[in-house]
Amino acid sequence: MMRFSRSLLAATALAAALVSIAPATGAELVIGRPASPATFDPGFLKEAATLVDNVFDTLVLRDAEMKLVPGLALSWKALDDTTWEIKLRPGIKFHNGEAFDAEAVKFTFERVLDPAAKSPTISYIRTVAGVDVVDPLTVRIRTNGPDPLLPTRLSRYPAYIVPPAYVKQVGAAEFARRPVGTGPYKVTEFVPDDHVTMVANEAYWRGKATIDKVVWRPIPEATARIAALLSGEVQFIESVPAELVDTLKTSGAADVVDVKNGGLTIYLGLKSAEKPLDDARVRRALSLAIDRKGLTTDILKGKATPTGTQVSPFDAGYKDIPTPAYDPAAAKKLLAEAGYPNGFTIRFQAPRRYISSAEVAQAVVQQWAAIGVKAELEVPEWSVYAQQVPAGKQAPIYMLAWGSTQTLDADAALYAILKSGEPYSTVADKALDALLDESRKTIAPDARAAIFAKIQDHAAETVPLITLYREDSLYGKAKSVTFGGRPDARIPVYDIRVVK
Amino acid sequence: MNRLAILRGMPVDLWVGGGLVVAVILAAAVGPWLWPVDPLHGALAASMKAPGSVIAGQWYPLGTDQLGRDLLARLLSGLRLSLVIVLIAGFVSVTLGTLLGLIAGYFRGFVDTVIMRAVDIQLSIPFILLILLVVAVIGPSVFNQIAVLGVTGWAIFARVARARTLEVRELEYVAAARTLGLPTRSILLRHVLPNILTPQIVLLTLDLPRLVVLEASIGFLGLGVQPPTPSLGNLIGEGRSLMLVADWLVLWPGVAIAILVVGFNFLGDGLIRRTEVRVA
Amino acid sequence: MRLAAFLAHRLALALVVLVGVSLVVFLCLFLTGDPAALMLPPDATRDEIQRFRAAMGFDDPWVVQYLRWIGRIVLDGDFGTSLRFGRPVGELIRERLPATALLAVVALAWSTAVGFVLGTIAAVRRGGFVDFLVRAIALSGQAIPVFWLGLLLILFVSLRLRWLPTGGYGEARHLVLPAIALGAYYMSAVTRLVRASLIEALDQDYVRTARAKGLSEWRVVVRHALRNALIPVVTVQAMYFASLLGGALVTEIVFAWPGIGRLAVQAIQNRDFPLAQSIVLLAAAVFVVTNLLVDILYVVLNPRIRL
Repeated sequence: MMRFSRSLLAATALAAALVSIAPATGAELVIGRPASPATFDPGFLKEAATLVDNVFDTLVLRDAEMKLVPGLALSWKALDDTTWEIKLRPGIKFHNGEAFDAEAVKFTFERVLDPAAKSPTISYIRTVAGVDVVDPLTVRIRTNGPDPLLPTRLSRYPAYIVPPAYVKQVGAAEFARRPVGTGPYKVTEFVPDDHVTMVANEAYWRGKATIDKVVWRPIPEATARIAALLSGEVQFIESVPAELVDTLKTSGAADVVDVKNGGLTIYLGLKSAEKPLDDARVRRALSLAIDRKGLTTDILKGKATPTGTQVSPFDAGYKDIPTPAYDPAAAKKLLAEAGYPNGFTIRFQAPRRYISSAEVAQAVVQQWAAIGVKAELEVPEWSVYAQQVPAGKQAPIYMLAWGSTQTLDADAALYAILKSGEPYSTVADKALDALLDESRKTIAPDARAAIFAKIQDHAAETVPLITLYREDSLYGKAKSVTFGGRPDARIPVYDIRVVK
Repeated sequence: MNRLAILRGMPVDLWVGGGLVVAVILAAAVGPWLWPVDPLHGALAASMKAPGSVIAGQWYPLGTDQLGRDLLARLLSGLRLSLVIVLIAGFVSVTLGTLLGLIAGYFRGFVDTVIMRAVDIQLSIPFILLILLVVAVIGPSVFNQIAVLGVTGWAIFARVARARTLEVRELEYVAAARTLGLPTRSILLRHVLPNILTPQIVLLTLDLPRLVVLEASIGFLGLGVQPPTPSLGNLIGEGRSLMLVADWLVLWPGVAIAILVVGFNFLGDGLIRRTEVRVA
Repeated sequence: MRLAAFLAHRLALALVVLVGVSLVVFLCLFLTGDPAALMLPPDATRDEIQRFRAAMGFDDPWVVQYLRWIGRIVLDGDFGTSLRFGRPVGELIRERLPATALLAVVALAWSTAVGFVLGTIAAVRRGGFVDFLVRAIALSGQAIPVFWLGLLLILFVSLRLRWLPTGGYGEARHLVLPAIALGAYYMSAVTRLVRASLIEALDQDYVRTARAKGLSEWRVVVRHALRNALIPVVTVQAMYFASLLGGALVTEIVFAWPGIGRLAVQAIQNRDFPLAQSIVLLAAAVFVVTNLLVDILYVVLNPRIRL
């Protein structure tokens, strides 16, 4: 009797629970983000692919456990060291009705690989030599040398598949404003700096999304973002500032999703070809003079973790490099050895982009002042800065964040910012270049990991850039929204539910 | 007795305005000396403490910012910088404007037309946009800001100076100086200028609030003085994102601006009344 | 005949000013920076800048360049292309204009109405406590910078009380706070102006006569004095409307209002100079044209002014 009633109770509870989490039909979600996208062209992004990710598909997808699963590709396999054969999913159409096929894949890669197009993210697929169409549903991708990471590269920007006929017909500028993809959502309105409206793609190949309509609103002010969430104007926000996390938590109206180590790794880029940063002792001194623990505890309120390597613990190839010590005395000594006993004056740019980044920069300026280095800080507007950096027009010391979140591999965390000549790299170190080249040619996972360990050791020793800390990803959401946060920093609205 | 009469004769606004302005200028001038706390360096452990907090033996009467810097120290130092920018810019404006107005009014004719059309042109362009645009192009240094604010503010002074000059040049002793064949430069500087100077100074007091707000707006938009150096505007701009948890960062710099503006306005109004009485 | 001559003269003056404004706006960018580098995105290479410079004729003398630039605007209505949006500047401005116009009209409407009421009360009760109170309100309205008032409104009304949204666009509740912030300064200005001109009017003979006839003070004010106090207020109002852009600029930034002001500031922050330049030019043109219309209206409405 007792047992019966208990299970009855359980069943009733379960039923009630099921009813309460049944997704609301026709649900709508308004998402507040710090910035408005400038473009929807996935091949030419200079920003995170958060919105694009909901409109376009890649050949390979990453599931919630971060495993690679078939996307627009049904399967992929290496035919030899430098050729991959990919079978494509049949019957898929772009939002405008255009069919997805092998030509679309070829077109997608070739427009990004075209050197004249100057894609800012070309480095992610630079290993691709060409794409050959075998038949409408089969392509072969040739690589320059062995590339074990190719399937991973196919899972992120700039490898979102675009419709060739449409792009050619309307041109790149128009395509960037009125994007057409195969993804779960169609863009119906794009008013830059005001809002983007997306509606669910009825014909989506994984089934129509449960949330019918998503509105993305840029709310640059963190306070306004929080207020909008608390008042219910938006139900989901990106980038909760660390110092406002408690406000949100205690409000009772919303939750904070904190993905530890899920954010970008913040570093100070150094133009190491220029004096005085060409001297490794100077670079090491600058690194030793920074109190990383103080930055993350006091300014970032513990929402970031000091680290000694650019590679994230989620990444394949991660080596646990100890966080550099905070030792101003040793730093001063190194500076003196390098011939700067009285320090020097240098320009330093840090955008107001990452968690409290302008404040962190000011604290760093303060800490450098203690060893005699006078850094002249400039807080540039992000949109300007984002264009200066890949063009090499930034200050000799510049704050940037880099992440491997979309790839979860050390290659993405290191190659683009350490290899000489890459748009985002200001490093020129032959030994590093050789190691990085070797890493891209090595397939055996153990051997790769060994090379990446060497690279991280070398970087810790010569300080080609000053790694500071890794941010958490902080989202705010209404209690009715289910979202667990992903290590790859995506916001797949397709997987989000709004419950009553 | 005599003194008291003078005091009674002076308008209240002059007293209030003058008092406020003198107080603020004093605060900016000797404040950093009376309150010798470093505005650029703070203790991270004292980050975002409310006004009146005492952390590690240090009293923070107006609280601290995210980097644990003392807001009072930053406010005083920001006030000083903003005042320096505004006062020098105002001086540049009044000098430029008075000279051009003097020339226009005295020589009349073609020169006058050209200068007065330039005044119209200058007044037609939205100041703040023009200033933001130029500062964005040439860079946000303090010198550049002074230059841009100073050079764009001359038009009103030129208009008023010209009007006065037109009257003064017809005065008997100016006409006499002309017939005596005194050099024009000496007529302008010795005889005409002293007569038009008072209204210009009054006008300057009334124009300073505009400059204060303009400078603060530029700082607020992040196009002015760059951190960590504080100015009235960038203090508010930086405090803005923390307003929800640290409202003092936005409140106090704003109060400082308001006091400054009220002071100058009162002073200007009072001066106008007073000078009018004397003229009449 | 006289009127026609006056109009012609006024029009010619306005034209001269417009040309001057366009010259200043053009030269500001021409003298302070490399126009070719400014017109291209910051990541442009030296080669691209060279090619662009040649293609656009930036090596020509500045007069030629100016004429070409202004010619395109006047003849084709072509303001150029925004760097950030990659779209015609004219199109962008047209898109954002309604938001700014709405904000400006609402702000001006409430500030004029309230200013008139307050100013009249203060004038009738001049010297008294109410007068003092009104003057204090007017004074603080002029002392508080628009952006600070906006932040205070957000802090207390939106964040503390949660009555109204912190920003956004589209519904009436989005409009309330920005309109208050933007209008406060003009409300103060109108109050002071109405008070001053009413007090002056109340000292005039015809008002004294009316008063002597035994009319109540309020009737005197409303029937006689107010009408005459109207002219300077209307004139100033029209000029305010044109210069409202300055205040709207900051208001729009604080409240994330998608109007011209925000577009302009973002254009400047983003180094989108073709867009920024066009907005400055346009704002100045609006100012000149409004002033011209006011001048004409003034003469037409007020026959006492001798031409």
